Amino acid sequence: MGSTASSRKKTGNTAASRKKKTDNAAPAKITGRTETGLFTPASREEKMDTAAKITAGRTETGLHTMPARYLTEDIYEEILLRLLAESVLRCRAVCKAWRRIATDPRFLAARPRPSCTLTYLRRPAAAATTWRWT
Amino acid sequence: MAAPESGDGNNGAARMVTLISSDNTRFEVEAAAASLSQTLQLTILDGGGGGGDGIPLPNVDSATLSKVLEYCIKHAPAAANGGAPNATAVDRAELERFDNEFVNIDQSVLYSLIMAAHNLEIEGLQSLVAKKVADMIKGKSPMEIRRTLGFPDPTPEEQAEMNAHMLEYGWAYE
Repeated sequence: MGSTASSRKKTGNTAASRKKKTDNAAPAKITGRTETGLFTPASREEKMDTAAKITAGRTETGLHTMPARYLTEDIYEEILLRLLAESVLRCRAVCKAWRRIATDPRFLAARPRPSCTLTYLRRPAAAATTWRWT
Repeated sequence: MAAPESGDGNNGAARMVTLISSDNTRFEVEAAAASLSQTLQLTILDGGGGGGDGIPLPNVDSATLSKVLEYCIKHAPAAANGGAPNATAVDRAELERFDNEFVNIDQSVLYSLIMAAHNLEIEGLQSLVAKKVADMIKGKSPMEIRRTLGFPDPTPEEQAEMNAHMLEYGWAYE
């Protein structure tokens, strides 16, 4: 009986360590990735957790292997805030997450220079024929 | 017997703090440099990070941290002058040259840097790297942006959305 318990325990450990190894070796499998390939953390805590996992993966190999798609939305916002209106408009076509960021009223208000283009053409998803004041 | 903090604070030698990266490397830097990080500033003001116990930074690895600290050490004197209103043009030009050189690095390092700057709340560094990434994006088409940043290839659905957007706002891509 004792041996069964210990063997079960052993199995558990192996599974745990295998899981850990997967996390480290393949950061691409992190949960929470959206279909756009962008990672959108739900909470600050989860974000920290992911950052730690990515860091762990990198340290193991001793290489910097952080692809841009693991950056958080806050950081993308920081980057997009530094673009001119014309570039922001193009960035809205890059992916869903970027479109969400670059059409957010908070984002538009935070831009150093307000832009009529960005504000009034805020709904790029709307059909070209429909004009919506939202 | 005297508290090490008060001793350090009163004589000429700058107070040092120890930061510990995620891979357990210890970095000893001047408190003034580490205080560029809003996150660390409070801990340091409370007297943390001195002596034997360092401040652990579980989200930053040693390679990134050394790069971050390189920036902090360079910018600490200017920051201590309150944004350096009386800095000479030479000093400013030197800092600018340093900044340009500093972000002239491999992309993936850039991303870990901005992540660290964000977590540590180092405003100057965050905006420096954000500006650099924005420059990489500037003037590119959505597809070129995706490739530049190494995003996975768009799904057919995404591709359709991208095309629709470009059709509607074609003038922005001239």
